[in-house]
Amino acid sequence: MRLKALFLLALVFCLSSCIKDTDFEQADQITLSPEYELDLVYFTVDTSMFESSGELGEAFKVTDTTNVRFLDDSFIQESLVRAEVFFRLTNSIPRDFQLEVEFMTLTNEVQYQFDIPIAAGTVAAPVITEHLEVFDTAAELGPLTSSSRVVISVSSPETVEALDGTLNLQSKSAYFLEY
Amino acid sequence: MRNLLAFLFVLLMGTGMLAQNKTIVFGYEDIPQSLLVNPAADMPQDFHAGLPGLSQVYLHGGSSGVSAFDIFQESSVDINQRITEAIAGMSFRDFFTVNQQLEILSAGWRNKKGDYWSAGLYQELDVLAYFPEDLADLAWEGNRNYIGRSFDLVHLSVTSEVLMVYHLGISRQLNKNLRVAARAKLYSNIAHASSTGNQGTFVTTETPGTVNIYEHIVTNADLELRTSGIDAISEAGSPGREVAKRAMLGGNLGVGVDLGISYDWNRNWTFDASILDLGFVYHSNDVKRYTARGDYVLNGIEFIFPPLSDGQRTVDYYRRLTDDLDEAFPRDTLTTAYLQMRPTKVNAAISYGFGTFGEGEDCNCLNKESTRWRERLGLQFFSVIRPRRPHMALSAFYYRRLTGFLSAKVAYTVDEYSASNLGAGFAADIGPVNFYFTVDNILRYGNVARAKNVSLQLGLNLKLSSE
Repeated sequence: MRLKALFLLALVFCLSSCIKDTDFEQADQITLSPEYELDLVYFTVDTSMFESSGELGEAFKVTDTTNVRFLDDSFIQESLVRAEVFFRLTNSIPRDFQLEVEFMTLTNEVQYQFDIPIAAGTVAAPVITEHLEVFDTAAELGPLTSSSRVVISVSSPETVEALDGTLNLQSKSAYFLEY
Repeated sequence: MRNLLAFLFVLLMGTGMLAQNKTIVFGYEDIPQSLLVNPAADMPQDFHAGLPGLSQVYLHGGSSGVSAFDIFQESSVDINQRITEAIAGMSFRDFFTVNQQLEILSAGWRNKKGDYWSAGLYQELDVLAYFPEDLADLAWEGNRNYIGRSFDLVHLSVTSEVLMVYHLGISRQLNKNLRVAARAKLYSNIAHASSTGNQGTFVTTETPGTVNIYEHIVTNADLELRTSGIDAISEAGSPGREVAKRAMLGGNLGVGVDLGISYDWNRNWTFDASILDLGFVYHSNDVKRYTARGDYVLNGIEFIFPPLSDGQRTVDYYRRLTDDLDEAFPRDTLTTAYLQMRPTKVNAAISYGFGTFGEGEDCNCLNKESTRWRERLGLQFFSVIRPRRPHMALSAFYYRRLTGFLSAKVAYTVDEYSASNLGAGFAADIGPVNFYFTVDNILRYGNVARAKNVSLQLGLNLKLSSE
C-alpha cells in the first residue's frame, strides 16, 4: 500500500506540473525575414571595346551576359517579397550612353527590362549616375524570379571612337525574404 | 524552418541546464543508482537489482538563455518580435542541452570481503548545442544591416551522441574513514554527430576603391562535421536491428572509468567526490567527416565584354564563380577514424551528519560503523567538461530520514545562469522494494514553460540484506 501511495504521489506531482499561459500553435506564425545584400556585376569599358552595330541604327554598343541561376530557384520564388538592384555608373567619356538591363530566361525570353541614361563626363570630371530598381509587387517579382540570366548592354547612338575615358559600373542587389 | 524552430524550442526549452547534474541522487545512498554518480557511495544493503528497464528513467533538458515561455507566451506582442528579442538577449555562451538515460539492467552485491560490486548497462542520449549567435543573426536578419560586421563561424558548436554503456564497479572500505571505488565502462556507441572547433569569419565590407560596391570575405574557414553510425542506421533495411546491433558492441567502442572516494574526516564531517566518464570512444565504423576549408573574396561578376563571332558562346561567368568557390573551399568527405572524448563529470560534496534516529537510543546515528546519520547538511559541486568550457554548479542540500522506510533530500542549486533551482527527491524501502523519485527546479513546476531547467529521475529496485 505504501508503495502504491508513493507511486501515486509521484504521479500526482508529475501530472500537477503544467504548462500555462503559452500557445505553442504560435509556431505557425514564426516567419524568418532576413535581408541579404550581394554584389552583382561590375565592369570598366573604354571606347576601344565598343562595336558598331548596323542593326541598331549605327549605334555603338557592348553587351555581356551572365546566368544568375539562383533567381528562379523555387525557394526564392516562394520567399522573395522585395528585391532591389542598385547601379552606380562612373563615366569619364565625353559621350552620353544608355545602359539597358534585361532579365531573361535561359531560352532568351525577356522577363523584365529597364534602361538607365548615363550622362557624359570627362577624364578630369567623371559623372556618377546612380539608379535603384525596386521589385516589390507581384507583377515585378514574378518576372524577376522567372529569370535566370541578366544581360547588360551599353550603347551610344554616336560614335565613341578615339574618345578618352572609361565607363565603370558597380552594382549590388538586395533580397528581402520571408519564409 | 518553422517546424524545426518549434521543435527545437519545445524540445530544448521546456524541460535542466547542466545535463547529468544529478544533484539529488549524488550522495543519496538509499538509492542504488547513486553508485552511478559516485561509485564510492556506501550501500546500506548487501544486494540490489534494478527492475529491468525501470530502475532508472532519467530525463533532462534545458536552455541557459531562454525559456519556452519567453517565446510562446500568450501575448499581444508578435512571436517574431519575441524571437528577435530572445536572439538579441542570448550570446554564443548560451546553450541548449538534452540528456536522457534508461537503465536496462543493474545489480549490485557485497562479497565476503565486504566489497560492494555493481554492474549493469544503460542507454544514454546526450545533445549539446551552443547558441550560434552570429550565425543566428545572419539567418534571422541577414547581412543587410550588418555591413562591416564580422560573423564568427566558431559560434557553430554542436555535439550529440547515443550510446549503450556496459559497466562493472567495485567499492571498497579501505579503513574506518576511507572508501574508494572504481567503475570500468565499455561504451558501445550507436550514433554520433558533432561539429566543434570550427574556425573562420565571414564579413561583408564596403570599402571605397574596391572593384565593386561590396566585398564578401570568408577568412580562414575551417569547418568539420563528424558523424558515425548515422548512414548505417538510415540506410539499413531494418534500422531497429541496426541500432540493436550497434548497441550490442557492433558499432564503435570506447572505454572509460568512474572513480570515487568517500572520506569521513570525523564522526560528523564527510567528503565525497567522483569523476565520471573519464574515457573516450574510438569511431572507425561507418565514419563520415565532412570538411570545408579555405579563404575567399567575392566581388561579384566582372563583365569583360569579349569580342564574339557569330555562334560563339558567351563566357559562363556563373560557372566560373561556382568553380572558383569550389576551388577556394575544397569540400571533402573523409572516412578516417577519430577519437571522441566523453563529457567527463566531476562531483564533490562536503557534508555534516547529525541527528538521533530514535528516542532513547544511545547511538546518534543509524550505524556507528558507517556513520549513517539521520540528517545530513552539505554543499555539492558539479562540473561537466564541454567543448567550449566546463559547465559548473554549486548546491546546498539537506537530507533527512523521515521514517524507517522513507527518506528525502532537497537541494538548492546556483550556477551562472540560475539562482533559484530547488530540487527534491525521496526514496522509499518498502520491504525489499526500493522506489525513488527526484525532480529539479520544482519552483517552476507550476508552469514548466517558464523553466529553463527541469529534470526528472525515478526508478524501482529490489534491495536485500543478509541481516
